[in-house]
Amino acid sequence: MATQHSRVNARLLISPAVLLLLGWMLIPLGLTVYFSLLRYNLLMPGMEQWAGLDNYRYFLTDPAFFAALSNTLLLVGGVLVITIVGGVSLALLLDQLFWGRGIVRVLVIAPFFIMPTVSALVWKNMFMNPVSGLFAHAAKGLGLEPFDFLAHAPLFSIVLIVSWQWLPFATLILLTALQSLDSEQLEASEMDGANYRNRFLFIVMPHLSDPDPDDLPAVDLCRDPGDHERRPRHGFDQPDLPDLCPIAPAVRRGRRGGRRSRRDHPGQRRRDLPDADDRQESGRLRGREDQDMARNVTPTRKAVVTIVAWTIGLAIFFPILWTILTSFKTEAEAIASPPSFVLFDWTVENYAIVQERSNYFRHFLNSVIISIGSTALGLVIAIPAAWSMAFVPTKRTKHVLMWMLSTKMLPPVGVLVPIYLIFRDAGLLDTQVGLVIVLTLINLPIIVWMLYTYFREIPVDILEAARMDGATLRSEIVHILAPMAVPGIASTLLLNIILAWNEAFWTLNLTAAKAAPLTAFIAAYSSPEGLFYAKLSAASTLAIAPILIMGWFSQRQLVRGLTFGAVK
Amino acid sequence: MKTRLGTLTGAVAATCLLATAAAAETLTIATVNNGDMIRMQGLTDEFTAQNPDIELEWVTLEENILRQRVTTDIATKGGQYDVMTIGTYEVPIWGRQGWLVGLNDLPESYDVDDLLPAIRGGLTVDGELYAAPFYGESSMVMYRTDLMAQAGLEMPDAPSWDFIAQAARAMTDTDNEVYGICLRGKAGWGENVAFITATANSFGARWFDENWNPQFDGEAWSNTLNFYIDLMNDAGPPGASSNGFNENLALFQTGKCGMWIDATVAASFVTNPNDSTVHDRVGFALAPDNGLGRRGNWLWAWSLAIPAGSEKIESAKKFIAWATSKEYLALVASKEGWANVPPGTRTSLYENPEYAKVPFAKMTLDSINAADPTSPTVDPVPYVGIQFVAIPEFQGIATAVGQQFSAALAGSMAVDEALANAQALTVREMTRAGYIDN
Repeated sequence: MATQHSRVNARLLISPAVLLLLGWMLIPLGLTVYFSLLRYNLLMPGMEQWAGLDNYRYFLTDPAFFAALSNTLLLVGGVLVITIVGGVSLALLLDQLFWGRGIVRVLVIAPFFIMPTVSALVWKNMFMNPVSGLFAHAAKGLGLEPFDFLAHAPLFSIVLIVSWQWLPFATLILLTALQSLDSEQLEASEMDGANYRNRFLFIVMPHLSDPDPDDLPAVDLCRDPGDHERRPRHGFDQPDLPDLCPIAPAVRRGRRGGRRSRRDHPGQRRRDLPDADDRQESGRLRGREDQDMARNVTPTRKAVVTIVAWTIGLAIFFPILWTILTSFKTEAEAIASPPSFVLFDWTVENYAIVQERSNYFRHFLNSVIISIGSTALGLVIAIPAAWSMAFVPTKRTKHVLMWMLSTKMLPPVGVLVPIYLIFRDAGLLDTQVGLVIVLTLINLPIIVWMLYTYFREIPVDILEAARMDGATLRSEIVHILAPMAVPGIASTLLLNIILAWNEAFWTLNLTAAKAAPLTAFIAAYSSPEGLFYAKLSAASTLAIAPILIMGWFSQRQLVRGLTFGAVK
Repeated sequence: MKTRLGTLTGAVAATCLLATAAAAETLTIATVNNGDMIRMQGLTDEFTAQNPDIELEWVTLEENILRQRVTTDIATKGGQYDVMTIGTYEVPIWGRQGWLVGLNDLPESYDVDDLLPAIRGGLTVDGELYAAPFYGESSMVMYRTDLMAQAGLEMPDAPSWDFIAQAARAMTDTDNEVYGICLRGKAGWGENVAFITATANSFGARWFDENWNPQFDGEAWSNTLNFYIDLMNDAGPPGASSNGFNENLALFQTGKCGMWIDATVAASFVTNPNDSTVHDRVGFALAPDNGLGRRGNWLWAWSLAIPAGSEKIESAKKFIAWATSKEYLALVASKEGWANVPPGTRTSLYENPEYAKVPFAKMTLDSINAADPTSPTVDPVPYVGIQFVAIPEFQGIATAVGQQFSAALAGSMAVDEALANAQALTVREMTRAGYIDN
């Protein structure tokens, strides 16, 4: 049981995160609400007058509002369907045994590391353009009429682009969940004569769908209020926490095998004692590779899976590959019809032009400082908060976490003007410090919440034992908690660096020259006069290369962090 | 501890002092990623060689992002930029707000009277020049002389819309990916709305009557939009509803357009042998008309302005005077040839015999001179501006109207429906803004 002492400490630990987010929410929100009641046009200063609810009336009676609302719902719905279905299929595929599994996994994950601005530009110009896009070339090659994606199926095209970007992440999480599946169970059912279809329907699916890993792609948005099952854990009363986002269940399942599949075997229900669970769990994880080998796979099947997996992996990676290839073409060659794949005169002139026109290194350095700085600062604030929420929970913990995540739902455009004014007065416009602060605040909820889910998996007994041995709060954190939490912290760190690196609203709107990161660098090439595919490709390649390389090197760590939770 | 802190502070302060003493003043310049501006950026060293105490920091952005950035910054007095690139739409509005530094005190050598009167007039509010034009443009017809001859037609210097429609349909050869006419279709107040509004002027249409009542329900607008959409359906490229200036430029340069009616500044790109596959087969003509006394050509000038409240006004003025000077034109000419100097700002440029040899020089000047922003329409209007209406509400309204026009072009909406929507939303916004009562 937590002591009075630790409760006070806990409150102290959580307060920086809470106060910061409170300020981040209330100040801009308050100003926005205030502005919403005025007749306020930025371009007509001095005209501000009280407008009451007039703005709301105009907004709600605007026919465009409901059209936009339904478009948003269709977009979100479409992306969810594609990422769930695609993610499950891909995860199942990648979980099979085949040659080159590691490489295919890297190919499939790649789109997640791409800046949204880059992916939109590349898709829109180099693929979907009805005259010089690659799809148009393909259609002409097949003797078909090129389809004008953005004019005739704009919503579908956007759904496609967004899905491409988030499918890898969904796959990653679902794969994680899948690999946590008890393969003994699968083997047992196989011996009992269950065929592949039945195994998938009755074991794999219940495991994955508990409790909805689907909204994963929309990390920022997910707010699934499912799963209200009470779980007394670790000897003290754990408050209900709705599974706000699906990484949590994935992690938890990683630790203890899906709940529903447990329910399918009533005999296992008593396994609620964490120790027994943990022992079995680590044994299982260690045996993962052996199990893979033990799975009986015929060479034919392995060959087929290999071909299918490589085809899909290359298809998903292709837009990135095409961008890189195009960056080595001349502008004329970049829009040539039919396009040449590798048999063109390779040139680095585009890189030379880009380097001459913009200071790549400074943008790169700003990106590094901003993403690493905001992640480090975020961790410093979030670790104590997550610690106290996980180990000294109160009745309010659940609400606090919910509320923290809800600050992510503030639409940035709505608070741009207030934030801009605050930054102007604080002298933070176009400074690295200013961007670090903003990115810390917008990503803090995710950091807290990810860490919280990892910390919850740490057996509290060890901490209690340490406390009895007289460990101070500080040494508790430094010597016991931290080492156990490192994998979780590491994957939080990686994920957050990726999110910060690719953030393209605040980094663009709060900078001019000195602190402008790579997102601003791209904006200089996005649609200039004249031919620009090759230069855009070169700039894009330069902008995404660092994070892509980092992502590839660390993807094992990313997956491991997600799979194993925090504790060995 | 205290002494250490003190020493540290002292050291930091000393370093800062040293740094300011040694460092030159840095001007942060926000500009569009258009070819002429990129060339200006490339000539940074020429400027700093003459002004060793000034350094230039460039923020080059795509037009829409740039506009969003500089508008936010100037309206909130953010002070992030010392020089801003803005257009003839912003200058009168911002100048009237007192947001820009007046430029009437530029040095004698700048020869402000040399600026083209139409362009200078668009940048002047109550006798004060608020921005210096970097390049000016009107719009005109650019056409492929070879395809025109193939179609057995001859382009007059001042064509009518009927001739353009006939020629476009005759030049179209879909099997060989040659489309008779490329026009803007991408939604945006500076994209399709600019082109269609200028065209509407020549059809006798106007945005508002003298009492600010929107006019999209009139016959003139219906004629304009039906003409435009029928022509594009018959003789336009596929995907025209997402084509803006840049997309059409790429199409024309790769030989896929028979005609293109757009900014005069494009002439130097389509005749540039490095970028254009058709550089030696391009002719020019005035924007078309319908015999109603107005042509479908607009007027625009990308201009350099200094936000009020800047702490570096003197250096900024030096830079602006340099970048929009006669000497700058000569400098670009010496490095890149006369065809590549920023056009449409100075009378002396068009009097220069060297420049007169440039194939599009005369037509550009004639087009600019044919444009009158103070009297843009056949019927009288309460506003200034040819392809825009110089009121702050215009950007928002016109972007929404542009979406209707673009949808009509894509075929997802009927012309009548698009116009009815445009009328309804414009009435709404104008009522809301207090121009008209409801």
